[in-house]
Amino acid sequence: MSGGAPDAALVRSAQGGSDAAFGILVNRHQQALRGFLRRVCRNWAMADDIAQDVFIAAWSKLDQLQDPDAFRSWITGMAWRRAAEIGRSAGRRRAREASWVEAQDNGAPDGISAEDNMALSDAMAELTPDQRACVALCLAGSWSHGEAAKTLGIPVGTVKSHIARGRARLLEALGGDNDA
Amino acid sequence: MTPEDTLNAFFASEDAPAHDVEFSLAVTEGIAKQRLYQTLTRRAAFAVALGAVAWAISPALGNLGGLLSSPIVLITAIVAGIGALTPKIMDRIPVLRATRS
Repeated sequence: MSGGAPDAALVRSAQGGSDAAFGILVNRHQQALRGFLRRVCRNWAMADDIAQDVFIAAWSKLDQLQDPDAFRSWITGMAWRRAAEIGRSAGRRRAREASWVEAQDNGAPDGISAEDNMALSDAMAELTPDQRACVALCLAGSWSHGEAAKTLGIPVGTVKSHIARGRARLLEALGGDNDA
Repeated sequence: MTPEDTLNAFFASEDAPAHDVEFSLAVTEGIAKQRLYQTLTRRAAFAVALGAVAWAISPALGNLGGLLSSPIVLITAIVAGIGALTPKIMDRIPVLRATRS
């Protein structure tokens, strides 16, 4: 099975028992899924643990995936539900604290001042989970509004509204133009 | 640098590596454990069902009935079943170790 094969072909092979095909799917989607979860959870270690659990759950439930083309949306939806469940139990305050700890541990990335990095980390933590998920998918991940809406189980109009408010809040944290 | 550029740099800084062997191996190990668990669960269920059938038909086995209905026979059957499964379980352990290395 070639690493350049489309998702649908890899999913069908994996459904037929190919571990190699599933391995290619993991390698192909791990970066995006972990990025999404890191932005939503604001805790990198927790995000990576959830991503790992989601891939293992996806392997177990692969027969339930009706549309092989929708693998990306399917695993992201699973990850979103798992993260939301954990987020509810962890509480918002702990998520904010974790965000600050992460920002301090990781240091400022290239091209961003430490102040801006902390301000953006804090602003992301202040967004509602739905807003964070929409920002993570559509602003950071370049997903279409329609796919994000389907994956997160919310209307397209709500996705657009969450993105506009989230973007405005983040730009406001940088002291810039917050017109959505 | 515009605020948009800063925002994009911030998002980029949260990306995981494009290739992460350690993460892929952790997923592979998790899948191997899940597969082993599923296999053992299926075999345990089969062993229990087999024991129940043996117990249920034991009265119909005429002159062997007295012997088979004895609890010691059921226990012996379970022990024998576990013994029969042990080589299969042992076969699986190197697979798990291989994924960790």
